[in-house]
Amino acid sequence: MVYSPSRVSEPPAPVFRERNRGTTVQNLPLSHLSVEVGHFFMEELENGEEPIFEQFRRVKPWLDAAKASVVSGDEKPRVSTCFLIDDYFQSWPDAPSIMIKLLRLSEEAGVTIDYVARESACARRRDGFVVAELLAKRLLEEPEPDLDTGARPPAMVSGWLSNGKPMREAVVLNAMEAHNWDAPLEYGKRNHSIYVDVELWQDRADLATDQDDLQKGRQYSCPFLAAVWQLVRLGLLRKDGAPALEVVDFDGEWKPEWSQFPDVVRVNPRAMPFYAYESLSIMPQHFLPIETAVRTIIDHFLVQPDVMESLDLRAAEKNIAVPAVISERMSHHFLPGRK
Amino acid sequence: MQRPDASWVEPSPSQPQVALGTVATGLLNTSEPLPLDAAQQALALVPGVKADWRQYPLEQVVSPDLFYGLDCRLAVKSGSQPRIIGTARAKAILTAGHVLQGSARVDVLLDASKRRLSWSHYMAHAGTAEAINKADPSDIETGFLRGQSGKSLLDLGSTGAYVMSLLDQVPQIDRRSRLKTQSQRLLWAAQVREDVEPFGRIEAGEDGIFRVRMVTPSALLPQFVEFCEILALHHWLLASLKNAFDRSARKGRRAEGELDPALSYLGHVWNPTAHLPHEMRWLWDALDDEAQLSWEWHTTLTRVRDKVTLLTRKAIEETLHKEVL
Repeated sequence: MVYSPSRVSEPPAPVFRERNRGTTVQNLPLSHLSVEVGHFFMEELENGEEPIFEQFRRVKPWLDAAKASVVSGDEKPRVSTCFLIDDYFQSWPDAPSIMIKLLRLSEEAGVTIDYVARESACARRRDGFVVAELLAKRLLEEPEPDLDTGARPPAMVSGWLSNGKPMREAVVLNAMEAHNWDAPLEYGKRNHSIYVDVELWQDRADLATDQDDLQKGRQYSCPFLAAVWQLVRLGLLRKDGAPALEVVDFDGEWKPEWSQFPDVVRVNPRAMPFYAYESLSIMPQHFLPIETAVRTIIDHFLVQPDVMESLDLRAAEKNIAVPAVISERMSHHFLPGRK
Repeated sequence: MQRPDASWVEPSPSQPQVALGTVATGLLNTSEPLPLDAAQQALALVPGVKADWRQYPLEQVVSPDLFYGLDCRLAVKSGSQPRIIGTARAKAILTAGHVLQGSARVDVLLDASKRRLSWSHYMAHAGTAEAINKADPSDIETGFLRGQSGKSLLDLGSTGAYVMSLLDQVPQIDRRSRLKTQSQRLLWAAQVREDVEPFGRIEAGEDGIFRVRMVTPSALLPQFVEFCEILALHHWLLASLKNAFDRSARKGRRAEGELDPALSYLGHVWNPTAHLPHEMRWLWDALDDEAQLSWEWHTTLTRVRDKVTLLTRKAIEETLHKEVL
């Protein structure tokens, strides 16, 4: 049987419409560029003032250059600065004095910090919501050439994410061939492979009795949390349409424990918006491998389509050129030297 | 070593020329229809995003889109099978709290590049797959609709079925459906062209699968897909009701055991124009004029109700007879 109807005349216009969007994407206040002005391990924040001052001093000219070259379309440039406290893997006491010292030294070096965030909040917010799982559940592994037909369910169970296929020992057919193996492969390679495999988290399966338990005990890796941090700054990680981490104003007092700090706090009342179309991170060069891992993770992040649309629409209205690929919205400057 | 510069990025045309999809339809394995709020929770399949929903004239909840990585081949009549790389999108749709659909789709951009690019490129165009070699759109359409399976061939049917299977695990269902039904598939393929009047053609195959072939401007593609989902749902309703009626006539079966759940689960769901996009009414009207699906539904439903009435009368008579004795 074949039915091939022809088009008939237009019916009258509809009068009833109903489509309830489960989630409405919030329009965020946006800067053109969010600059991360340096990064320290917790023990570096604890010990001595000189190295801290020194890093901020070296950040300063690059921050100025970034401000001078920001892409802002038809608008007056808006740039905000931020700093991420490394409190997830080591949480030292004496939070208030560290914060006061940090803000004073950055100011002395000519670098104004507008916003301070905690790395722990990128795993779990102060209200208990596990932000990291928003990213974990939105990662899509790369399909294997000629094998992924849509029939294989996605598997993100190992806690590792790669851009290809690892090296494999091949079956040894002949005892004389001692070293027989398949080379690793980057699926999107150009001529030669750079195979990257990133540890996203570690589960303590021995302590867990069910899935919930497993997730509670999950320890996220530094690149994974940094990827959350980048996506939050770019306004791309949302919960029910609102930013995954929200900004609050500084209330004038630093609480004694890091865990009592807000997720993201505005310390400069005159700051431009925290979220931005693009991001720049200025940091010592020993963070380069971590940031490579961050980019690998973000290259596998499936953004909520209407979130991306809402940002792109606003950028287009103001003639701001924003790349379609998320990792192209991020840039880095690595400071030379050891620290 | 080559210096990385702009020439690294191969230019790609922006508009997919072909879209391919399947809609799998089945019954949610639960004894009573899921209330709206439970359905909303069950279909929130992506954390941080809630499901879309409608209440009039029939409750319907639609999950957020899920994406699946693809690197596979497309079936074609002749020549080498084009390789496509990218992502397919799929969603779950629950209608009247009981009819579950897995709708999977991929938009295909032909002649896009010469090799597989970095994954971030495909992630920036989620829902689209890019073909590496040249291919003819109508050849791809025909190849896909044939529904051929092969080790490396695109298999959206499994994607749709997988999305449906996600609902097997939700705590909101009791896994105690009283009606036997079979899941059913519809295949569709569309050529996307801006310069044409929309055109649709539906074919009922020997295998019981409906196949929809369309030519449409890109602006109407979402409505065309909705039409296919609605057609799949009603084709499944019709088949399920007919099957239940047939089973009720078989020896050794309690007829009420087949007819009661069929009536209470399916009897009220038929309403093809309920959520049909306005722009697609002409296609449904024309189809129903020729294939008379609505007529068949109402006739079958009448037969089911007549049979229930007769069975009831018989039962009353038997009871009275016993009392007289």
